[in-house]
Amino acid sequence: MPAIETKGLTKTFGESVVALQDLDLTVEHGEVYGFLGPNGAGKSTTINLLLDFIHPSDGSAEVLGFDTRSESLQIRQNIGILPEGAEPYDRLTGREHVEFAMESKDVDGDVDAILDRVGLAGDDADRKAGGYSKGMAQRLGLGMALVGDPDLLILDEPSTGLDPAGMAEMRDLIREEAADGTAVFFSSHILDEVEEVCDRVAILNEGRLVADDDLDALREEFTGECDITLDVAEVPAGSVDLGPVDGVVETAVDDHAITVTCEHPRVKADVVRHVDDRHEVTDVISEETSLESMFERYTNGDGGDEAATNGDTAGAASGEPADAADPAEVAR
Amino acid sequence: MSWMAIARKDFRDARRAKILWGATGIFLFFYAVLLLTSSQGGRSSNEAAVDAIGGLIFAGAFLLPLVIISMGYLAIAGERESGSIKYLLGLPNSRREVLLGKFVGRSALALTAVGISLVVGAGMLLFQFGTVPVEYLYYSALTCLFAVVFIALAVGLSALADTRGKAMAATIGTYVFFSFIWVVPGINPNDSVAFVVEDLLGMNATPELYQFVQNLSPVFAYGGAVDAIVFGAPEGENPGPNTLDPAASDVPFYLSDQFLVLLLVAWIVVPLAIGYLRFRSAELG
Repeated sequence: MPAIETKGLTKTFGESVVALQDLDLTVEHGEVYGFLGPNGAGKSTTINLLLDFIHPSDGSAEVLGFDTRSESLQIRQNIGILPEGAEPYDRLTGREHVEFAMESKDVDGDVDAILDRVGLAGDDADRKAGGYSKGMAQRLGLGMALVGDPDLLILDEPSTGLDPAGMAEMRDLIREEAADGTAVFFSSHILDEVEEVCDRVAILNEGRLVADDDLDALREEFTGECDITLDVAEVPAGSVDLGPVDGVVETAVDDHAITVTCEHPRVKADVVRHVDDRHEVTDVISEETSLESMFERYTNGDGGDEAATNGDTAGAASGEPADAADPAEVAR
Repeated sequence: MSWMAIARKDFRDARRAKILWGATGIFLFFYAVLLLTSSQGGRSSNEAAVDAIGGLIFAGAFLLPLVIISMGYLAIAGERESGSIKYLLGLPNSRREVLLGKFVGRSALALTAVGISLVVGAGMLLFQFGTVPVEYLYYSALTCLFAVVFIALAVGLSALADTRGKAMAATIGTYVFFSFIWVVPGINPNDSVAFVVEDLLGMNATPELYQFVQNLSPVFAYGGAVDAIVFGAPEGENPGPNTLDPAASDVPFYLSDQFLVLLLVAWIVVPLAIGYLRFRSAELG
């Protein structure tokens, strides 16, 4: 029984606005699942459907084995949710919010321990939430989500309003929860964040799932061009000829550094060998393909076509938008 | 039982707003104006006190709903607008429990304001007339019921609205309809029913029917019930339109005082039920 499983989940608003189309998604227990996409891609729609805030036009979804339509209370008893952009109750203190969550879930717990975990200990806990900054409100929401040691955390844009330190704490917290066996499903349009904590990533664009795979596998299959920089002891006389190495796109020499753009990460090793045979390499700087470039290719029509020509399996992502809509094929 | 947690939270949240003290202040101001300025005028102190209570009916029936509505109209719609309803419904609270908890919490809030005012009002009666007649007890009970009616109305309508503006329009509109439109000649229900019955259907005038229709407004049901309790049976000459004699054998049940109370109870149940039916399946985007 997966933590989340959606089957053909579809949501249309009115006659013509398709917010989510035919979503098939599986989140396993204990998995940190990043749900990525630009604003308006359907991320919040999906989360609202999982929580029964809105109702599917077609398809169905189960959370922890419970149907979202008929067993929503059981779902909400066993998960923690950080809603997007929700304001806390201005006139209640942080402590009262957490206490309310405990009462609603009918669980006992250490209010202070939870507030401490999300960095709202001491005076902040007894201040009214109306005086909280956006980041503090977000942390309070996370604290409420942690009540009752849920099996699944659903976090909608958890880093909204957080400063870099707060975002790092949030990531630590997600990791801690995951280490505890809690599945974490979180949406984000911030790539770094997803890249740093997720085991698995889904990319949503215009209501359609365009990728769903392990982060490494996605990188492996869909990295396009990537750079490797080699520091050498002496400035190479003339140009560095990497012609014999397959898959090299471009070579640039700058003082003691040779920067090579490769078609694929696999090419990097050949480049290093080739250069090392001819020059004294002092350092190798290899940049991992960022999720950003991947993301841009998936969510930007033109970029997608370009990216698709780089890898053989990526061919499915090119051409008609309808092809890109079939995530299973794209991702495998 | 999470509706209790919701009611407690809601009461606590709303209590800290200025509305509670604002409402209590408004009620007390009117009680002071109406009770402390009435004079004994040669009657027995009890009679004068009862008359003074009668003087509260109008203010109660028309002013109290406005204040009570302001305490309840944001109960659900406000949370939908701010998004905090996602906290409420992200926790294992059913929508029925949310509505019930809101109704109970806001009722407690309204009854706190009304209760304080009624107790101070009793003190004013004692000060002015040296006595608190038993009618004041009935008046208080009916006024509390009336306050809860408008909380139910406000919370029920709030559950139909997704924004503050819609909730305000719906509650104020309903109030204006059942208070002011209800007495505008030509379009009020009395005249409308009379037009249908007498002019269109060509039947005889049926005063009981008109009275019944008049009582369907919670404002007039409350006014009629207090009137009947305070002034009792009409004394022959010039009975008020709402003054009914429960003892008179020809008064049908649907015009009796008990039925007025029943109507008020219906005004609690029906708006909440309508609100629930819509809220139950509402999409909270």
